[in-house]
Amino acid sequence: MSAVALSPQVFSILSGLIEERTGIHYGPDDRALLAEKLEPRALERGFESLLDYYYYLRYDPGAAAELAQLVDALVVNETYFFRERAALDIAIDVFVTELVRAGMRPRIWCAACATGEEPLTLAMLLDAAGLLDAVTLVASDISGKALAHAREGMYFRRSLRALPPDVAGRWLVPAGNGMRVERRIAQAVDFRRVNLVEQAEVAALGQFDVVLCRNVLIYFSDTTVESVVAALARALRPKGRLIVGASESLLRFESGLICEERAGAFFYRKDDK
Amino acid sequence: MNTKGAPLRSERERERIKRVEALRFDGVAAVPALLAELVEPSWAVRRAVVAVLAGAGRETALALCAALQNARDDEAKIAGIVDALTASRVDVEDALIELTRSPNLAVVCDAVQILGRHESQRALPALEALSEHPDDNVALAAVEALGRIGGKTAVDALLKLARSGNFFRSFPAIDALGRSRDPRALETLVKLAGEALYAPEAVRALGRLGDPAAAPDLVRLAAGASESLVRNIALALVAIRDQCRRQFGTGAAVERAFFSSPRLPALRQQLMQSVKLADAPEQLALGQVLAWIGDESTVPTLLSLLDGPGAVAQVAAASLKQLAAVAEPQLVEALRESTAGRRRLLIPVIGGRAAAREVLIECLEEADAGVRALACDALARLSDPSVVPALFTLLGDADGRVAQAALGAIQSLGSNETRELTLRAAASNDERIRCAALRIIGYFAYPEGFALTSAAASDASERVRDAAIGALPFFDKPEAVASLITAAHHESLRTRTAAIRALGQTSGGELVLAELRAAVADESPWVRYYACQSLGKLRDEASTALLAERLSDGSGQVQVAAVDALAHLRGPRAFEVLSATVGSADPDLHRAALVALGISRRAEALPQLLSAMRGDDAATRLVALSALAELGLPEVVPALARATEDRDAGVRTAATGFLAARSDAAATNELIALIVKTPERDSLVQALGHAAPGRVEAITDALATADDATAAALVGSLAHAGSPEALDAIRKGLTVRNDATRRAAAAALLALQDAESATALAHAALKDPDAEVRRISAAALHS
Repeated sequence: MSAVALSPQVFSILSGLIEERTGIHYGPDDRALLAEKLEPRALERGFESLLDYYYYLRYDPGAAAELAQLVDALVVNETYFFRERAALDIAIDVFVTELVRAGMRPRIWCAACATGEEPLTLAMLLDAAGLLDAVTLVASDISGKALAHAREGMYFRRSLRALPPDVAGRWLVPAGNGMRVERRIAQAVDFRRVNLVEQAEVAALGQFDVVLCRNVLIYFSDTTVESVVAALARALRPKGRLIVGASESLLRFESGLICEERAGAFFYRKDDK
Repeated sequence: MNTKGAPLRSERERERIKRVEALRFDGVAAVPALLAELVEPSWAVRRAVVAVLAGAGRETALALCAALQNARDDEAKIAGIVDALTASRVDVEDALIELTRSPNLAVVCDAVQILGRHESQRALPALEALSEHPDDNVALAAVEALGRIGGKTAVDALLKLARSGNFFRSFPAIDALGRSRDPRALETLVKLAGEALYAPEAVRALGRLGDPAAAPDLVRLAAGASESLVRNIALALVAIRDQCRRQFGTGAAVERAFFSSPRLPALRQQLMQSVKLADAPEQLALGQVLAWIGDESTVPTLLSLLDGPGAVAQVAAASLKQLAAVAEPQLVEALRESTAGRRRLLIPVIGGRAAAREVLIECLEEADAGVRALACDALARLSDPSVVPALFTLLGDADGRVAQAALGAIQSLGSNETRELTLRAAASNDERIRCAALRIIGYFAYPEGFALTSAAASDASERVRDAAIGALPFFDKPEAVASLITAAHHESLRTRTAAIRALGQTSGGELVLAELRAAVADESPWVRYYACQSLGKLRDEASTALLAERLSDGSGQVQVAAVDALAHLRGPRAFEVLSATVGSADPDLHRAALVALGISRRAEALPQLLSAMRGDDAATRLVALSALAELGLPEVVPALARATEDRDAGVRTAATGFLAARSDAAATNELIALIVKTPERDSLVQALGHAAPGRVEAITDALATADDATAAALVGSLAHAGSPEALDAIRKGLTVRNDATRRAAAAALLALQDAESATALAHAALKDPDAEVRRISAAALHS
């Protein structure tokens, strides 16, 4: 079905460029998948060859805008409300509560929030704990399209598949075929566009007490994970916690963070010095 | 990455590691201090300690052996000592064997583990004795070590343990035997598979063993077995078949094992019933087995697997495709009744069959765009031009993939009606339909369509102009060129760019070349880019200087296009410029120059390409490798061979492919040499299986002195080749002096189910001096 071919050589340089700019890693087995995602963008821009499209991304002044659109096509936004909830509960019950009690205003960052389900879940749980007004909640993603969806706050069946019984009606209001996030919850989250491989963009967000970066590191190569985790570690305040996905152990990386376990969930703590 | 992070160690860790590394120079005196560091919580520090200890000399290694006995106050410390001794290259096997006599059984287990990982032959007697140790932990460690070491003594010991009747010894021994891949394990494992207590473990081990001689026994065992054992047997048979396919290019011996069973219909039923409680890996296996022995009765079960997880559904679809000839009406009906998800899987299954015509046309109206696109592709494969009118309805489809698929199908089918339908579509009010129609007009170069194509090149719509401009080069007439030249001056940049690109697809001529030469100085970099490309395509030698100037163009893509264009020019100046550009610091320019050197096919390019193969960037090495292969010189063969061991998988795969594609003796010899020295042989075996003059003779020569593993790989290559000459060479292999070759040949003839070898196999089964050849030959005769 493909109208534009992707040779191993062009795949190699194109996937390298995408990894350099976005962190998303494509292995040799992903060639057909990447070709399928690139082809519509290349044709849309008037290119009949993916090598020409590569040079466009590499040299044209309009490449940044094109790359942003390409990212929308490449990223996987598969997530849902209350996914891997245990770690969120512990983050709030233990770390956030402790800081609030100490008179501080904790800063929480959901890095790579996709279409917003995770930070909005966090906002709901914070509200349930009476802490929503006591924290700063920032959420970011590389995809402008995903962030537009998050800001819109409208969700459908796939995102709502693991909803606990008391959530609908309390923080989510039926609207059409789906549900809309209650205004107060939506407004509690500050959505920003951030590319995690651009350390300056990460640094510009400031420092946080809790950083969630879940189910995104699996799309990166080890080199990129190491670099991204270093940036996230720098974004943590002393004693701050980094939370990654259940299947994303950082133990094989020299992250400088200390791994600790609470009730079956793993956290990476920054030294207090 | 453009933003590398700093090393991720804390300041404290960096200091500790520095101290640890400094201790490297203190020799054995540093051992106590290094061991003390092993209790450090930081992984980074512990890893540094293990690395220093592993790299130290004999005295340190002996001190570690002593510490294994005497310094057992901390688990992390013990683990670090074991890791260091395992990684060490110093020979302290005697000291470790001495430790296997320690009264402390934990020490014995650690020593046994290290000896197993070292694959120590000297330790075999000790390990054999320990495998019968009264302590289960010691015995288990010894069995695992024997499994790692392999070879006759280890396998003999494992066979004895497997047959011991002691549950705690037999189980690990069965597992180790399966992993040993040693054919002598077959008989014992088959026997144990018949005993209820050991059946599941023995069946799994037979799967890992991968010997097709086990298939008839497994099929016999399946008759009357419990559902769970049937699922295990399916997994084992698929594993054996996969191994056979990798080694010999066919799984026929495994598939045919079912057809000699008198209980085939009952077996089918058993296998279908066992799907219900199967997990995903078991479903994958059952789905494949049901295709081997399938008929109409297995179709409903396979259809139900289409709703399973992705991989299961894919396997079920592949299996149904194998049954399409015998179950066509069922599959057509299933496609008609299916949901969109199932339709996406079923269309490729029966898409090319005439009986599916009507239901495929129905699928063109399916709400799911993926189904519509697949239906277009499938209709294209029918070679039935009567479906063309139905395809025209999708040219304006809202989904671009569908419209593209419909366009492709129409172009591949053609028909008497197509011309009229296309000309009508070209007058459509729908811009998408007009664009598609213009592409069809260009593809078939309908003379009646020229006027409207030419007019469309100056249409108000940019997309319509694009489509018309793309079609014009197919009309080989001056008026088409004139229209393109007009379009090359359009106010729209996109149109100008498209026209300059299209001019490169014409047959050229002075007018075209003059236009393109002028466009090389256009204000837009993309017009310059395509002007360079087009001049290269038209091989305009007169533009050499013009193109060389573009190497200092302000836009990178123009520089690259100039290099690409110069690659197509033959003059010495072009080559000189390209050679100089290889040194560019811009990676794209560097790579483009390497590609160009390959296209030049000049021997002088060889040193620069070989040098680029030593670079750090994998993409550059891949490009250099492809260029080397383009050169076609015999001198590139050793470089291709070296690249099969490149650190990047893409480069390795490409290198093997390039070697396989060559037909010279040098490539054959390199592939054989690689097979002799490389443990990972699968891709090389397949590469050597490609036909080339003299290849079979070269393999036959190498077989004269090959060891077991090499002989198996070389004979595997002959089996992959599959030519009459190659098959004959395998048959002759059964009569040569080298035992290893006769074993490999017998195994291949068993896997290939070669009927013509029956007499030779019967003779070998009785008279061959080697017991293994006799066993395999007998198995081949009875399979």
